[in-house]
Amino acid sequence: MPLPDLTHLQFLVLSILLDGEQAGRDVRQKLEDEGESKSGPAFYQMMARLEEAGSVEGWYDEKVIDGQRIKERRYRITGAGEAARQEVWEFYRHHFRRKKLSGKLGTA
Amino acid sequence: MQTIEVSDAEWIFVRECLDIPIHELSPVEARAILWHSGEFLISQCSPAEIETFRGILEKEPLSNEMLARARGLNLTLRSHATDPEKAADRIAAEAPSDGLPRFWRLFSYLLSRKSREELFEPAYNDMLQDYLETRGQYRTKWAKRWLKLVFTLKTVSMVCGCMRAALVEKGKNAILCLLPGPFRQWLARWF
Repeated sequence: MPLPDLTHLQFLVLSILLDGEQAGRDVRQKLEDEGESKSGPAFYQMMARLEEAGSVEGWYDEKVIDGQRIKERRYRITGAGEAARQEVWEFYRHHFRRKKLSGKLGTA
Repeated sequence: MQTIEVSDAEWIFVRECLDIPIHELSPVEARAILWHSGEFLISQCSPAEIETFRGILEKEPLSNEMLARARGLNLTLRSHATDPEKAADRIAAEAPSDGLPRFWRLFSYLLSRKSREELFEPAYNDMLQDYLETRGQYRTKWAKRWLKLVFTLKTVSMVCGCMRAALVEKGKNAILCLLPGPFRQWLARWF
């Protein structure tokens, strides 16, 4: 089985986006909750790479806060992104199973 | 209890025309004020909505203070354009702004266009959202000054973060260019 193309952070972002479209700041907050703190520019750089790879789709939404219009970057996972995430998921599941099995055989 | 949606335009009307902090009003109160403010906005409500407001107001009549504010709003609305959406746009455009966000944006011109669009712009908008939400919670002069200073420093730090990210990207690309093909492909996925 080939090595997955996604880093663990990208995998986490795609997993978060499986819940549906979300604002960038919410995704960043969820990453922080998972113990993966990233600065704004670093986070959006990662998102830009995911967009370039076709795994996510990003756009700006308008919002009015305190009487001022602001833009908010929102993201949704694409079909390619879901497939890439699934591939990584299968990869780890496959290896965990093998590891578990060899561990059992080793102790037997 | 029935839930009533209040549009952004309506919130702007209530906030700007009555000078009431949003967190002091429930959506029902905001809508009731708007409804009481006269026929100007009633035209925006469906008959079902009007019936709902009537029911709410019969059960929980507005206080004298709210009624006075509603009358004030009615006078203000009449002085605006007849199209509420356009008036809301104008009010939003005229909303008190301390000019700082425009100043902060100037920092971004230190960056390349790609970094500005991909890194700075979304991060800046998130920060601006934080700033506006925080500003609404503090009303004193010194708190506002402190917030301005803190968010200016955050903007500078963000521009530095964008520069760093852009430099790392360039450095990474330069290193990858020097490597042989298969090794480059393998390494690229971990950067």
